[in-house]
Amino acid sequence: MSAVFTTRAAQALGHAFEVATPDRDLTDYLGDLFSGLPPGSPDPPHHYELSGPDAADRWRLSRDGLPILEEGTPAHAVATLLWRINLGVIEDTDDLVLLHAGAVDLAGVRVVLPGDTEVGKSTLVTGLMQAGAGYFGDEVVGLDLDTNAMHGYAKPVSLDAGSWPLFSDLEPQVVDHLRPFVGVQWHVQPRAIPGVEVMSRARPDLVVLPSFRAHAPTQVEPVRAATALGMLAACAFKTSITREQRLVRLARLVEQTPCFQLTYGTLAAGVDAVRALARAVARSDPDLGGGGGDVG
Amino acid sequence: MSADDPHEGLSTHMALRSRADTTLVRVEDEAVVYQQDDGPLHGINPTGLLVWERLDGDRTLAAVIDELARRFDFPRQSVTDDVMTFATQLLDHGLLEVVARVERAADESAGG
Repeated sequence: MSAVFTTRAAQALGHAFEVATPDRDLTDYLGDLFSGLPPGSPDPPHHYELSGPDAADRWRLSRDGLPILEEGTPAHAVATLLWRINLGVIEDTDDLVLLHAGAVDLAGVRVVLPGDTEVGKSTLVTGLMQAGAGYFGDEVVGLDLDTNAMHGYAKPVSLDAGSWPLFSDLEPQVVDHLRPFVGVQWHVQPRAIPGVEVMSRARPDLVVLPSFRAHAPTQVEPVRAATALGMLAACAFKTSITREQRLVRLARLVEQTPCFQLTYGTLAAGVDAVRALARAVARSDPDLGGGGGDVG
Repeated sequence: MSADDPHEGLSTHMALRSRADTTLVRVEDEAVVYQQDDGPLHGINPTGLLVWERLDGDRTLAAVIDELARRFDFPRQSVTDDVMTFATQLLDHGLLEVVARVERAADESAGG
């Protein structure tokens, strides 16, 4: 079967792409996942193609005609596609410092949540969205080198199986023949969460470095400047931007933004702690809390 | 390094400076410093930054100690311990290099 259905072009920070598949429903499903991203210009530079299935129900993934995955299960093919788009964002965004971080808007307070893959960023971001937060992203945020702006990457939220019991209402609803594509992770389009607004660019107001430890008591501690810079640097992606440029930009973030380390033992405790910090920041800055932190 | 002298090999009569391949990035009154593009990042607290700024390869550690003790009215021995510990750590990390070792008499007369 040849690929004939193509998503609209999407712009993921510096990475512009479209995805083609041989199945209209699959294309619609993927297009919906990317619907939080701004539209890209027609004929984007990167073209992903999912093709299949073969006789063994295996799928193939290519980018710009070059194979990425030769034989994968449907779920593996979709997971690989999303992972490669994340890599494409990192490869193609050369004018922003990219931070491995989630980011949300809590009543006008823009919160950056940096952390490695295992700290539970996506789970915490999803919990915050369910509590009313706006969404910048759950994986990568970009920091402008010249301004205070933080750029969101509103990809679908990726939830591992361990988080599914917390968010049973977010289980992807797909037509029967697409069920095999939903397996390894739940990919949740942010607007699927009631009331969630997708954000694209704003000044960050608060940095919270989260660390989930099952059943641990909640601990919130301010982080000293050099320590915060070191922790943020550990979360920064290596791109064409020099290490010194990255550090100088992150130092500016530390100087302009209160930084806290949060240890939490349950999702509810983590959500409560981040919301309390955001309220405290809003109280200390009269420009916040009403969306006054927008940048052009 | 002996248990008696934690700063073995380092003397207040030495002048130190940062190595040419180190980069320091300031953040508030602290800093991080690293060597080459892939070296580990080391945090420097405000006191350490005061010391770092004075390790210019001209001033001896004794002169740095004297200046900081006078400026902040701290006991000289306490400042000496802090400076020597800091310098030893940074030398161990390869972030500093010894530029010169001056004669004791000259250093004492210069350092007051």
